[in-house]
Amino acid sequence: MKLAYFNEQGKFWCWAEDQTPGPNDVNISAEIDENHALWRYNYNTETDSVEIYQPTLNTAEAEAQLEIDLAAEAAEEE
Amino acid sequence: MTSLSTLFGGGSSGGADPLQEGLPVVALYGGDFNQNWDVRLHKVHSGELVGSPWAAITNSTASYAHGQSHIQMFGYNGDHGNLSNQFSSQGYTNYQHFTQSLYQNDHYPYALFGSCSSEGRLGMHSFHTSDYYEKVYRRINVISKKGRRPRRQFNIANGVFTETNFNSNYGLKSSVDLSSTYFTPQGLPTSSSQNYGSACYNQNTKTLAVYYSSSNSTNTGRVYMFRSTLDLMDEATCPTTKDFCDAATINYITTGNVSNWGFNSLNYNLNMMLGDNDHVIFNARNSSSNRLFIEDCSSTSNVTTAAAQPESERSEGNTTSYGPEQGLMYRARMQMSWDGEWVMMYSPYYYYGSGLSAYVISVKNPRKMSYVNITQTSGGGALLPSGRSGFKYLNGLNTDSQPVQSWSLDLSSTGHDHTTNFVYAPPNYTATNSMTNVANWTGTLQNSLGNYAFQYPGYWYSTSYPRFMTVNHWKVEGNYQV
Repeated sequence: MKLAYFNEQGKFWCWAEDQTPGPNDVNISAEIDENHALWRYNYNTETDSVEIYQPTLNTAEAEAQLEIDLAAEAAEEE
Repeated sequence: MTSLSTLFGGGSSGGADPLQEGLPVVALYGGDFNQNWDVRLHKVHSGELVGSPWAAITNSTASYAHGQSHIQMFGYNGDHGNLSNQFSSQGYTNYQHFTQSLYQNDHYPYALFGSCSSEGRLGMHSFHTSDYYEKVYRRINVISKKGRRPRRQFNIANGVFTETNFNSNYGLKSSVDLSSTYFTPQGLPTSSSQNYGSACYNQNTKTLAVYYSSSNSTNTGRVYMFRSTLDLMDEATCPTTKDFCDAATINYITTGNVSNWGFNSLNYNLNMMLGDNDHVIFNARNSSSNRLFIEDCSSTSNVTTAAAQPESERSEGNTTSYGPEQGLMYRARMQMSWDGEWVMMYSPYYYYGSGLSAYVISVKNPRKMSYVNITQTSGGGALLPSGRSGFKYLNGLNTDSQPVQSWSLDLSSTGHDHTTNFVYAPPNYTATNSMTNVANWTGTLQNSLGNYAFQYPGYWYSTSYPRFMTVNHWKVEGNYQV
């Protein structure tokens, strides 16, 4: 696990070991598993916790699931 | 008396470059692409709409066109770009999606799949032919003077340096064999002659840097510096590639480990930038890894032994992604700020065109550098010059009930001294915010996406994924350009 900073949208910004936010920067941090692809992480500011997209899947399976979810989302909105 | 600079679009201030354009403009096109679609031109930095609407509206095919132009490829039922499905991991052959890819736009004044006039006349290539992507196969990068973009297309194809018709892989205008005409007669060593566009011309210094590896599958090589008295971009004084080289002094700098994997794996393709001080940036995108190297190539005599390591390097990991090894349409690209003082060397974060993995680098002193990473996996987007000295990433996410999201960076207050921190205007500016900074070379810029409804309104209250295309001439409005 490694300490990471997130941006206002809850997306990964940078690792804490590389730099620390300045006084005017967004300061949201959490420990995450560096072995997961960074796009799978989202910091939920309402629950103050990190969510990982499809945590039980490996990267390739998560990518395949993302395609399915996007297609379903588009079909639903039409 | 009206000055020439005003006549040719240079504005009213004295001494303006007659070839200088106004501040950057982007074509934003979208809609649900089922019944309603639209084209708008925006100033990139402010979002102001420019141009005049003139398109007709018709219901003859249940396709309602609005805005500034007719787009022949997006008419009836969205034949070539159905926006109801979101781009994510698709490649260049997917005509339903790939117009959203980050690869569509770079520092040249046209897009991979089309071009758009200053009046908003937007044309797309046929997706059934191949030249739309081959035009970027061996095209070189160009550092232009302030307010200019490349208006000629030069290519490096192995040992041959060519000019082709603009926006084309075809239509040869001139060529010269660098090896037999210059390297061999001047006793300059050559080993591997393979090169797919790994070069950069700097118009400020009239210098061309070309990279050749020492042999296949090696990470050592040489940068050949052509320091000419002619400007390669000036067709009046430099009509052919040979004219440029004949007027140049040539020497080489031996380099070591500037691709880190062995050049063969990258198909001889490095994304290069030649700084004003003759420091050369090498950007290598291979799978999920995005690397940056810098070498001092300012010596005017041959450097025969490589330093053990580059002057400096940085590596950033991304997710499942591809580079030139999967096809040269996926080569990393360069974008340049309007003032010509900054570039971004970039490639997508995810697969073939979503998100952003980019180094922001000073042209005056390439040792001044920082990095930004936008971890989007869908929607695509565009990285564009914004205002006088900045960039904007426009995100292609669904604009149903929300404006186009963007990341912006202004570098007006960022100095070029690499011994000081990288000061910048953060993308998430609010009224209580101020300039911020990160360490030079190792720092990572904030990557928040703004949601400025005034700047880039969305399209309709229905599923809609916006597309972006650079405009081939940025009109001068008022005194914007100086």
